[in-house]
Amino acid sequence: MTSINYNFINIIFCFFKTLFIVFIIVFCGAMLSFIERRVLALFQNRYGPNRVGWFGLLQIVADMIKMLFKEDWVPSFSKSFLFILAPIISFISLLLVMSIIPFTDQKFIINLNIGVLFFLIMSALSVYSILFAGWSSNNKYALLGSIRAIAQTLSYEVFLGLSLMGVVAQSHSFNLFDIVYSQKKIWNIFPQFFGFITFFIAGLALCHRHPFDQPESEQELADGYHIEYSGMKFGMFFIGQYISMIVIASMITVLFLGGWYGPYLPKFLWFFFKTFILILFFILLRASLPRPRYDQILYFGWIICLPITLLNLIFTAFLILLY
Amino acid sequence: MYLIFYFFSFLTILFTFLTIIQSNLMYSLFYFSMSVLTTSFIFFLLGNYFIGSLQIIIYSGAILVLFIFVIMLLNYDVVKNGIHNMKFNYLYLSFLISLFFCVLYKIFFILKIKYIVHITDTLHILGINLFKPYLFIIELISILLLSIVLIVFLITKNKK
Repeated sequence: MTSINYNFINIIFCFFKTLFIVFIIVFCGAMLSFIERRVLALFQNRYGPNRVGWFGLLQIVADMIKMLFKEDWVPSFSKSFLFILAPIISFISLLLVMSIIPFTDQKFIINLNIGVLFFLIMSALSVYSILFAGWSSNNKYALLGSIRAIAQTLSYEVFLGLSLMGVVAQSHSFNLFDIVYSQKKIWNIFPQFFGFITFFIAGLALCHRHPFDQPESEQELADGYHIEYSGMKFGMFFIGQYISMIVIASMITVLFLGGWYGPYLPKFLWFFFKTFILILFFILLRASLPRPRYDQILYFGWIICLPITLLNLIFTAFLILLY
Repeated sequence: MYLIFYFFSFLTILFTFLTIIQSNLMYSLFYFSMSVLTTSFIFFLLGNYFIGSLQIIIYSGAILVLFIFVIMLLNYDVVKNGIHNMKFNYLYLSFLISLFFCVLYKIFFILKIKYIVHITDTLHILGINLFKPYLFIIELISILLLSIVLIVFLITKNKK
């Protein structure tokens, strides 16, 4: 009897813990849109959102009210099932990756043995959201945007996986906890510097951030694959992008910046600081870099980044065999 | 556990069947990606996480998206008519079917260990198993794949 009770309490506890972490992540993703607008504005010598609430802090609430009460329109010329499915995949696929990320050695949702592979699975499945959105909208701008996005994601996914293999080879495990434990003496960013650079670039391309926002370039494609979406469906694409930013930043923290390791401060704060600084760096990149041409991005991926990751992997394997 | 296994097996068969009978190429590929996904769920259910995740990453993530991408770029009507006007060469077809039955015969009547998923845990053991007891099947399947590639080449060449 007591064991059943204990099990029940345990399940309830796990459920609420997961719910709490998901809520925190979605809330942070929503707040990031405000932070990004403010930081971008400060870089451009203006103040940014300043009308609603304290220092414009309630801007996100105003945006949310607008999105929730907008008419949720499914175009009559679209393939409606895939049209509705696309934003759901976009929102869910990278949010699921948060479940495997170890915030500290005590605070995590699940400890998977195939952690890195799970991240790669979810990043591979997130391509389908763009594909469905672009194809089912029945709109030439959406189709062009999704074609660009798929070509970009396919070419960057190849070395997204390859750049991680150096880290995996060093820690002899796909488990994210083992990878963090292996960085106790030295962070992976130093021995795996080229892996870090290429993973960073591939991560930017994965969440379609600047300078890899080809699929949604406003000037040429009028918003790309989510042009037909309105209301909360657009909101799911919008928040999904910020969530994928958080996921990529925390993956970089776990894989290359030593996870929760750091002196003096509590472990959770170290993880939070590293992730936040990486996100700020993403925003800085958006403020400072121009958008390259479409073929230049593909050229850069296949000719420069792929050989670098391969050489990095071969060199790492050579060193591991040697010592 | 058994119920989930049979559920996913049923889904796999259903989606594969839908892939074959679907006349719209895009939908056919979507169903095929679904069948690949459900196959990987079966791998996960049997406890072989490595192969299950590789199945999703490689097939569902990269190769199928590439197929769909190519079909998005092609002129759609040409592809549709090309498939409907395709004439089967019965020599090739009978060759392929006999190869397929060779594989089935080997699996059902000659092999003693029928469960590949229970032995493999790592890539190392998988490689050893594929090249020792299962070598003949691998060879047959590779010949099958080669002939499929040749047939696809012939079809596309005849069209022009």
